[in-house]
Amino acid sequence: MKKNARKWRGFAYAATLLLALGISAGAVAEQFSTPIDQYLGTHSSKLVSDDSEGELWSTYKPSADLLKANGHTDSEKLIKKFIKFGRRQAAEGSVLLKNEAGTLPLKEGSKVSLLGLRSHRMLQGATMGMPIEGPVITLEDALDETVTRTDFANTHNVVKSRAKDPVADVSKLSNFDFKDVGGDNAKFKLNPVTKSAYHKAEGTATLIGPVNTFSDSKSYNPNEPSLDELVAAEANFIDSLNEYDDAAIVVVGRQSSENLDYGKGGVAKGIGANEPLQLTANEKAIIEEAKSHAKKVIVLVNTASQIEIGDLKKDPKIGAILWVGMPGNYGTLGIADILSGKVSPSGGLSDTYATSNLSAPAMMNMGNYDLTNASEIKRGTKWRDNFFGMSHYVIECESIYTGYKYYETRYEDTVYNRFDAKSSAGATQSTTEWKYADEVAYPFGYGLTYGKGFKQELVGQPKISHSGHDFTMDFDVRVTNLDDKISGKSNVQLYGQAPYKVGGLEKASVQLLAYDKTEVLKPGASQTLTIHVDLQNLASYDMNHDNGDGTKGTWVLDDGDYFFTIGNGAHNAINNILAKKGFGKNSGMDEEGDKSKVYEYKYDYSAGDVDDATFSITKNKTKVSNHLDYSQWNYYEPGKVTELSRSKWKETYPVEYKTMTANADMKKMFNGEYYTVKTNDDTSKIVWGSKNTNYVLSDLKGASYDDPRWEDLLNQMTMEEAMGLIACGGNEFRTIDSIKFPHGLYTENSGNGIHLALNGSAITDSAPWAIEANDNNANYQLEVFACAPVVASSFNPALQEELGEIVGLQGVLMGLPILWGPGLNTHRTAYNGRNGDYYSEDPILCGVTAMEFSHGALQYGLIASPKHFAFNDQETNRAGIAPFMTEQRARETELRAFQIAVESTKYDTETHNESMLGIMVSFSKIGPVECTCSRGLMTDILQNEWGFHGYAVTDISDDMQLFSCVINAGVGGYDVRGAFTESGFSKYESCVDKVVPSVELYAKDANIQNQLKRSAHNVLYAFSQSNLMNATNSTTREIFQMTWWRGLYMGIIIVSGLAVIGSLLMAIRAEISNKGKE
Amino acid sequence: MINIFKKLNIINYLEILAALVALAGYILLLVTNSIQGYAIGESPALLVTFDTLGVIAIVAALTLKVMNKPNWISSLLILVALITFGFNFGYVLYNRVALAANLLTFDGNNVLGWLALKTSIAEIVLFVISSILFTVTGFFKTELSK
Repeated sequence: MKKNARKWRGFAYAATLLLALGISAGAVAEQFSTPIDQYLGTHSSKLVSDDSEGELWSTYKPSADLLKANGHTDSEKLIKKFIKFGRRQAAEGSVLLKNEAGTLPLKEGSKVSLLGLRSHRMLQGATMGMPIEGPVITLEDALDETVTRTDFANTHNVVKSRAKDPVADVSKLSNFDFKDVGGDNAKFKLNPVTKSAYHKAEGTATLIGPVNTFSDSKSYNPNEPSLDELVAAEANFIDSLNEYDDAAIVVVGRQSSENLDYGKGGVAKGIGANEPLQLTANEKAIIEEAKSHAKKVIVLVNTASQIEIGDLKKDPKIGAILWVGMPGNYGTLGIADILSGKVSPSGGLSDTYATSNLSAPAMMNMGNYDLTNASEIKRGTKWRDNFFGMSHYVIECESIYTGYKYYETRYEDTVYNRFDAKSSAGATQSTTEWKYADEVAYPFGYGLTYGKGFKQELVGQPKISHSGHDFTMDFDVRVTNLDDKISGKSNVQLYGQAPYKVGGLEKASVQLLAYDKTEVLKPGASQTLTIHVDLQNLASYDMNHDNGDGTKGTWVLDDGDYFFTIGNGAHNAINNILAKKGFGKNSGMDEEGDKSKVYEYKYDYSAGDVDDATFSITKNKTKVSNHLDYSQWNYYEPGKVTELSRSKWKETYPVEYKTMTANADMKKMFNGEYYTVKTNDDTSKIVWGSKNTNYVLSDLKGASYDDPRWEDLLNQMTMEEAMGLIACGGNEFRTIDSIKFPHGLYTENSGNGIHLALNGSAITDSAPWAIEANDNNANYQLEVFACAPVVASSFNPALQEELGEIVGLQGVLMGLPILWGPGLNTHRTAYNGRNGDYYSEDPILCGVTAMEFSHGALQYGLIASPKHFAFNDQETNRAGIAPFMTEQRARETELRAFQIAVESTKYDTETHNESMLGIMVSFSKIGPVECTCSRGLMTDILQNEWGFHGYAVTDISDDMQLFSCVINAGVGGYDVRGAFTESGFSKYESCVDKVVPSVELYAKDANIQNQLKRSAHNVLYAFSQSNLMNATNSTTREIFQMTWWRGLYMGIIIVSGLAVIGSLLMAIRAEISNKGKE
Repeated sequence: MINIFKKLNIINYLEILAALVALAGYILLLVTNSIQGYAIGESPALLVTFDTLGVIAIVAALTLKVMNKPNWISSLLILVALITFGFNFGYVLYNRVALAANLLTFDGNNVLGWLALKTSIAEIVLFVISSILFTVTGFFKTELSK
């Protein structure tokens, strides 16, 4: 072959390679066009509508004060609103735990040394799940008098996003003077040497997690620099502490992240701590250094996980401790407001801070457990079997005694000196005796304010209403600011105690029932709050109650003395109750209670000893009964597991269940044998594909769930369309031609903002108030608010609702109708790596916070979908883990949180029944049954008992091999993010028989067909109530849009294709020519 | 045999290197495809068939050179191999993106998943390197010296 021919051969090779790669890349790009669009800010399609009547974009829209003169949303006003809110959120959510001799606040101009790695790299958000994104205001900038405005272009202080890398874009973002976002910062004189030293020693530390450990791992290390390293970084580190000695603020932090847990004993060797939430040697050393140089020592606790701070509490040289959680991108300004005294703290702890986290009975069973006969669990699947490990379990035998319900209940029993409560079982601070004061550092709900504080008193008698299936009490609580200089807010927590009968139902000694918060009260001012209590939240679930109709289990109220009290946290509340019962310090209490704050109510049920009627019918008018019998191990193997009982603290204190073997019945459940597709039902009366009506979804905008038009609309759909609606249930949805439901990206994470940038919407492009495409802040990331525990710890329902409204506003701007969030699992243990996503250990606080958030979001047509329903109690083995518990525990802990949120009774009116419209189902099982496949959970409890109608979606790709079972249970959609396909059901299998779902498969299964209709109804109903109705009418259609990346690969294909042909022809010609010459 | 080596020029050695790299990619393809639960895509056998064809084409192309058969046949076979390797690139990418997304987000502790992803990436990279090497050699004289 001559030179000329070789040249063309080389070109042919190159062009062929390019062509092959171009075609391949194009095919892949089209499959993943949605994430590519999200990453690049391009839009592959858009919705267009004829809007001659001007009906679009008006139901939900930004308020006029956020618009520019041209009608478009002013991104700067929007971001200012976010910064101001984030600041308030942290100011109200931070909790002052200790403040000796007026250590705080600090005066303007104070010379302050910031110490601790986390003072320079504060953990401002979680890593995964509910992370923060984009540029932050650092703690240093929030405190330093030389800093007067945001520094969003500083890439050192930018959190990298998963969806889009903002580091490249922050230079364009607007910056803001602190004066314009709530006022000056703290204006302290900050020690520049310590800042420099930490900057040099920070290593790879970031502003977010990760937890960086797994429950089995022995590698956790918070990587706090040693004093030697700091001195090596800055030689005059120690001297500078003497110069900036008005105060030392030491920050200690622990991360939070989806998918990871802290492990028992899971620490790296040599860090000077035995447990991951204990302070390490380096952390203790820097605190000691602060004590020896500064006049005041303040510790900021920067975590959603309960760091063990008992020693700091006792240390007289530590003047103040402020818990700040993970405050979000702008919360540092709120922390600065507290440190400088602009705001008096008003939060209360959303979790118990134990001296040792190992003292919680739940810690006995937490981590990695696999059935001894795991090899016999063989649930086949084509789809990610390795992720969904099927044989993991955890025994939650602590009964209802999680968090403060354990510590305060055991405390009451020690005061009574009964039930072996003082025995050493579960004690971590003594080998001989359990003592509350030793075991608990700071109780749930506890928090201080500045100055003389507030007086809270019950006013008069509560207004009691008991009729039918409602039983409520309204307490008037007068709050008076006792200080003569300091204004501030005060949160009111109302607790209750139901009578405990030995040998009867397990009951906690105290239970938060409701809460509220005052406005800012000036010195001497008062405000009376009415605290509404639903006695449902104090009722106990008796799973052994005989309902007389062949079923068992209902909610009951025992006859006897009920106590209601206000208190600064759960411990103060139980002390008040004990005082009312005649106890005092001389009878074993660790502090005196105030019996004047207690209302005693004698409940004399007329029909017997137990009121089993009032709450036997739910708000949705459905009879309550057991639906989760299989949730407890003893259902399959009686007597195997011992549940903790307060009547026998010592005898029943949990042991670790490490070697459990599933019996034959249980194995069937583990193997997913829940449903067999029927083959001979009469399905002729189930209508699909009807042409009798011609409704489109937008015709049912805002319609009630019972509107008769739904039946006609659903009949118009084909069965395949109904299946497709469920099979592709987020974040993209398929087109449904029969009802003109347009394909689109309609769901996203999370709870602290939406996981999108301002330019991320293709839906609202044509809205008159849309963010303009050339807006400098188009790349602004929206997940910027504080972690969930900070939201809860504000104990301010109005603020929690406002967060929902702000995220709802984000939803309107982004054209996003459904949010996968907020997180609503309860904190079972401190070691759950994902506690930053969830509000609290207490179901009432969780439930009310989620309800408020959801109601706020709904004001902007954003459907909140709290997750993970339910029992996602740890991240270790979360994909398919089987948590075993009694139905009483299930109902009174996590399900109670979801029940409050779903029922949303607070917002019911005579004409409007508010209800949660979305929910995300857990990866986990309940007992050996997948939550997604539990008809008891998804239909009997969620839909029938609680009245849920809406979008219930699996967690990402969960249980795709159990399609029929999932449909049978009542789930309304699969989250198939990353696996979206228009092409059908190839990734789905019907059941354990591995039959791919199809119209033919269900042709003779009436149950499945009816469930498909019900699920479609639920999902479409949610959309009809959402901001999607802003953007659609009967003319709405999706149109394709060319994007630059699509043009690029198409260009490559065309050019390289032509080049292949051309170069081949030239090569042949050259070769022929050469042959001719030869 | 020694005579054959005497006939090889630097470009021929590059071709041999390209073939060995492709062979290594092929072996990794078989490894990643055999990790339990991580066979690539809906039709792993189709992918293996394609890549087997590609590798056979390369071996055949080099063998024909040694046998002094017309060079255009070898060139066509290498062209076939380039097409199959390009298909491999798209197919594997298409079917591993979701796995990568999972591992980089919520499934980071999945050891087998990481093994599958890493071997897939290595396999793609090797095939692409092989393709580039063959493309480069295409511009030069690849016939054996007489």
